[in-house]
Amino acid sequence: MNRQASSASSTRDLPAPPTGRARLRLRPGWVVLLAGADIVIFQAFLQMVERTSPPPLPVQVAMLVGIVGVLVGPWAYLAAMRLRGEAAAGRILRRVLLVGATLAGTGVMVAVAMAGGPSEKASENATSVAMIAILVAGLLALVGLAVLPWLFLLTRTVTRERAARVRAEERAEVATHLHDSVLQTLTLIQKRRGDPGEMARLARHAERELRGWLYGGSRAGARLAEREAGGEDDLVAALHAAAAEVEDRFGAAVELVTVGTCRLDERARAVAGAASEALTNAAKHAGVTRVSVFAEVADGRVVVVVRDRGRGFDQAAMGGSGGGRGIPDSIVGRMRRQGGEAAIRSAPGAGTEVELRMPVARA
Amino acid sequence: MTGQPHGRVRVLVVDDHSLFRSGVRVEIEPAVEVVGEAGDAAAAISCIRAREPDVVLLDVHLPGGGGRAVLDAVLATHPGMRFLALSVSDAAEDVIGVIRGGARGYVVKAISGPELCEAIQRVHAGDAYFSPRLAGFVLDAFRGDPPAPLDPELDQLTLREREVLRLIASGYTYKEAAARLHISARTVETHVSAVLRKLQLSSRRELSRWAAARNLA
Repeated sequence: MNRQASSASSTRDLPAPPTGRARLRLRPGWVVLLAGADIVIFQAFLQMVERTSPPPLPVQVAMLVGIVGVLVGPWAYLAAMRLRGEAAAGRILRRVLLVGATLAGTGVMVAVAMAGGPSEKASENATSVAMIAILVAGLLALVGLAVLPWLFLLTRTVTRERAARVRAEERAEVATHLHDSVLQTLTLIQKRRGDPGEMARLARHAERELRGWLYGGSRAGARLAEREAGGEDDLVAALHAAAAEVEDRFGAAVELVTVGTCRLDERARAVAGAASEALTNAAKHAGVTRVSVFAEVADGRVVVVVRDRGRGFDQAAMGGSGGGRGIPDSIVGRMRRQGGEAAIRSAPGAGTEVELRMPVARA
Repeated sequence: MTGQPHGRVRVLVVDDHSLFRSGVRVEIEPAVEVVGEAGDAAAAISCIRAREPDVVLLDVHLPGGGGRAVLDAVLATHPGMRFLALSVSDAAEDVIGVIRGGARGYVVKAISGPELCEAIQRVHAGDAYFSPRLAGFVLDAFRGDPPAPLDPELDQLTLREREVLRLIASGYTYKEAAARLHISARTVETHVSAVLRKLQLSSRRELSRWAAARNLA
C-alpha cells in the first residue's frame, strides 16, 4: 500500500511532498553501494555464463533483468523523488519507462521465438538477442530516468539561483533609490521644519522623483535619467523638466497632464520653451499655488494649455502684449517663428490661460 | 433619492492610512457627514452594507483585495452604491481599473477640500467626476480610430466630449468649461456621464489592456 501511494504521488501534480515516506527514501550513499555491488554481481554473472554451461533462457533473462533493474532502479528512483510534483517530468519518465519495457519485452519475445529453433546456434543467438535488448533498454532507462533528470535538476538549480540573485539586486536597487530620494528628503525636512516653503519644495521634489520612478516605467525612467543628464528626448520629458524647474524655483505646484508625445525637434523645442515661459509667468505673477498644464499631441499638431486661476491682467491695458511679462517675444514670437501660434486669454481677477498650437512631425 | 431630509451627503471613507482618513474628515466634515471609516476591504464591505452611505470614498490600494474587492462585493448586493475613487497612483491601469470596476469618479489625494466636496456632491447626484489626470487618460485611451468591428457608439468619443475632456484636463471646473463652450453646466455633466459610460463599457483595446494590467477587466 505504501508502494502504491508512493508511485501514485510521484507522478501526480502535487507541489507539496507527502509526509510519512522517510522510511522509503533511499540515501545517495546506499545507491552508490548498491551500484557497486551490482557491478560485482554482473561480472560474476558474465563469468558464470562464459565458464559453465549457460542456464536456460528464462533464468538468464530473469537474472539480467534483475541486474539491470538494480543498477538503474535506485538512480531513477532518486531522480523521480526529486522531480515528484512535476506533472511534465512525471509524464516523460513514464514514457521512457514504457519505451524501455517495450524494448526489453520485444527483445525477450524475439529471443523466445528464436530459441524454438533446433540448433544450439539458435539458442545462443536467442540469448544474445535477449541480452542486448535488455542491456539497451537498461541503458535507455539509465539515460532517460537518471542522467537527463539529473542534468535538468542541475540547470534548474542554476536558473533559480540566478533568479534569486536578480531579485536581490532589484531589492538593493529599490533600497538605494528610497534612500537617495525619500530618506534624504525626510531628513532634510526635519532639519528645515522652520521653513514651510522649503519643506513643501523638498516634499514636492521627492514626490515628483518617486512618481517618475514608480509610474513612469522603464521609458520614463530612461527619460528621467536623460533629463538629469541634460538631454531630453521628447516633448513630454521637456515639459516635465520645465514643470519641475518651476516647482523648485517658485514653490507652486504644477499639475501636468499629457496625452501622447513627439520627438523634441526645433518646433517641439519652441513649444516647450514657450510653455516653460508661460509657466514661469504664472508662478511668478499670478499669486497662486497651483498651475495646470495640459499637452496633447494628436493628428500632427501639439496643443499646450497653461492655465492658472490667479490675478490675471488687463490685456487691453497691456496693449495686447503683456508688457514686461516676456509674453510678446518668449511666447508669441517664439511660436510664430516656428509656424505655430499662441493665444493668451486673461482678465483681472480671472486668471490667465496661454494656449500654444504648433504643427509637429507625426510620431 | 437619499432619504436624507436636508441634503448633507453621508460619506464613508475607506483608506488604509488612518492619518489620511482623519485628514479627509477634517477637510470635508462641515460640508458632508462622514458616517464611518474603514481601513481594509473586508471592513469596508461590511461597513458599507451596514450604514448604506450615499457616497463611498474608496482608496484604490487597500489591504484585502484593493478597491476592486470592495466594488465587486458591494455592487453585487447594492448596485446603486456610488463610489468615488481616490489614490496617489499615477498609473493608468489603476485609474481605469477602478472606473471600469464601477467607480463614478477618480480624484488624486492631493485634491483640496472644497474640490473633494464638489466631487462627492457630483457623484452623489449621479454624475461623473473626472480629475484632470483621468481626463488625460481617457483622451489617451480613445486616441485615433477605433478598431473596425467594435461598437462605434461606445468606442469613440464625440467631438464635443473631447472638447469637454480637454478643458477638464487643462484644469477647468465643469462650470468654467460650460462657460468656455457656451453650453450649460448640465450639458457638460451629460457629456462627462456619457464618457464615463463609454469608459466602463467600451471594449477598446487600450482600456481592456489597462484594466487587465490591474486584473480588473
